Amino acid sequence: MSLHAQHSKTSTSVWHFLRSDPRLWAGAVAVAAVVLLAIAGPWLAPHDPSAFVGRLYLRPNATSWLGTDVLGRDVLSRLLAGGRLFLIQGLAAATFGVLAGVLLGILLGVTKGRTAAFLLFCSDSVMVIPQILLVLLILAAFGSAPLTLTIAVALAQVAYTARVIFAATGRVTTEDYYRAARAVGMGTGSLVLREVLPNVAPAVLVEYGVRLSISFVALASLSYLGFGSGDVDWGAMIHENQGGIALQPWAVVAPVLVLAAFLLGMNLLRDAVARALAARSAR
Amino acid sequence: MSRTTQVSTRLIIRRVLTGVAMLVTVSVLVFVATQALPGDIARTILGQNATAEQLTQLRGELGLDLPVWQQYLHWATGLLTGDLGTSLASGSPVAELLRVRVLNSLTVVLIALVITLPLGLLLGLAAARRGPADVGISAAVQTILSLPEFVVGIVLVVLFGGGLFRWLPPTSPLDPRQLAWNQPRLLILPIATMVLIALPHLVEATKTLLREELASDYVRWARLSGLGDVRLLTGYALPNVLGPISQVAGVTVNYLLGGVVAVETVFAFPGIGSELVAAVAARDIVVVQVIAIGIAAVLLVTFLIADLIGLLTNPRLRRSR
Repeated sequence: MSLHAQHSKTSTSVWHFLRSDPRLWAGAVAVAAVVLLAIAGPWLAPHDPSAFVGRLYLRPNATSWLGTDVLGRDVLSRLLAGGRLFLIQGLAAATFGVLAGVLLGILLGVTKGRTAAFLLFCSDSVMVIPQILLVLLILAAFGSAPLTLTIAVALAQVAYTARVIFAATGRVTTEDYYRAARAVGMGTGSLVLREVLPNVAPAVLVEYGVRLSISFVALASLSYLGFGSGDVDWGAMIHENQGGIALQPWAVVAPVLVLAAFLLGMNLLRDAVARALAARSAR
Repeated sequence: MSRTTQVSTRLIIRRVLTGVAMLVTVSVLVFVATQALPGDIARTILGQNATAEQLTQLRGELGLDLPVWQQYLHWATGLLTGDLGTSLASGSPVAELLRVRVLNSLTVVLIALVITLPLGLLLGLAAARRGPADVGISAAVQTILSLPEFVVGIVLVVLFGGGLFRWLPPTSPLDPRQLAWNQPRLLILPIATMVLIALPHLVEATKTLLREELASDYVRWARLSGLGDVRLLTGYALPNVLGPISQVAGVTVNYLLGGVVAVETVFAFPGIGSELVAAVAARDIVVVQVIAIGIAAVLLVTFLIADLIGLLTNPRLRRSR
């Protein structure tokens, strides 16, 4: 009972900061709109996304509200059908990447020693390679099936998250309460669960937001570069219709606008949450 | 030799050695990720219908039947002696395949860097003073930061390459017989995209560093003694953050080199980025490895130079005369 009360008190204080932040509402509306569009889209689509409904690169008209694409398919229907896999992949990649990174970061943070130092050096070396290159390396070796793509993007996040959580863990392990708990003989397992995890949780939350954004950006880019699922997809739509920009800009502009609304919304949401957490810890 | 000089020499040697160790680590990682992990490259190249003899022969040609560490040593010594190997997809030497493309990419990246660095410092300086300039610059910075690199390029194409205005060519298929430098009209949009990609990070970091400096005691004392904002920023805060800013400039190169992949693809620009994408699609790991190591090596040298500038401009390590 008392535990529950304490928990709800902390979340109210974060919510108190969040509620009055216009960034949160703008971001939430944009993200929610795009997510709804991606989930309900396939049922709302007026045409079959792979059916040919007219001549290629038709401007918006009565039957195709956003015109037709490079092969004469309905742009609106493809836009509505193209978000589901993308959202699932991004969510999965960020979640697994952050989980692995948090695990590695905490592990390296609490077990100081030669092995930890060596692993940290390797992880830092990985960060020298630009992220898109890292993903492409994995795709070159293992192909670009949707699952491989998701795993590759997840793996590319691990070193970055590990770095951030390693630093956060380091701050905890130099605190008196941690030393005291260790001095009275608490094992590493309970130290991690009871002292480290609750105290790095805000850092994990902020990092998860960052990794979500970066995973979505990476997946959109990879599908634009031609490593997507081969199915309808916003990144791929932009790529295949790029040659018709002068004739039928909507085939490119529509997916760009949806992607931009989603990613900007994510950025605003993340920013609002990070500010609220910082404001709470500053109190 | 004074004591301080010795200290900074030792620091410099240490930093160089760390750089070399990182390059070795990166090369091992690149090699392991592409070649040593389970996953049959020979079958990938030849496809599912390959016969057993064909597979064995290709494995022999690629040296895949040797122990992994021997494969790595063979590959690494090849790179060091300038033997970059033969492309699996085209059969031509990698060095020949990449020569013109490296020049093309280098042209775009260097011009973008020369534009980005002063512009980024200037905008960061302008945004460090709170006010309408800060609000406008920060909004633009956050917008670009949240978009993928290719979207920035596409937006420029839609605006200036045919969608709205038809001022510039929407793609940049360079003539391979001429230097990129001699085809300036084809370079404008790719370079503009690169600048827009790299600028936000530099502006944001400069702003943050200057704000921290402005909040420090010595600046507040200077302000109390009657110095104006502009004087404080340029005369006091800026010189003190040059070291950290040189490191941020190093990171700018990182964003530019990562950006070549998407930007060159958007504009069909014949550089190492678009070649990398083609090589990955063709599963041409020899080319992929060389490009990855090349980019990592350039970045490590850049970070090294940036750190050395940071060490040398740090007043606490300044040589006593």
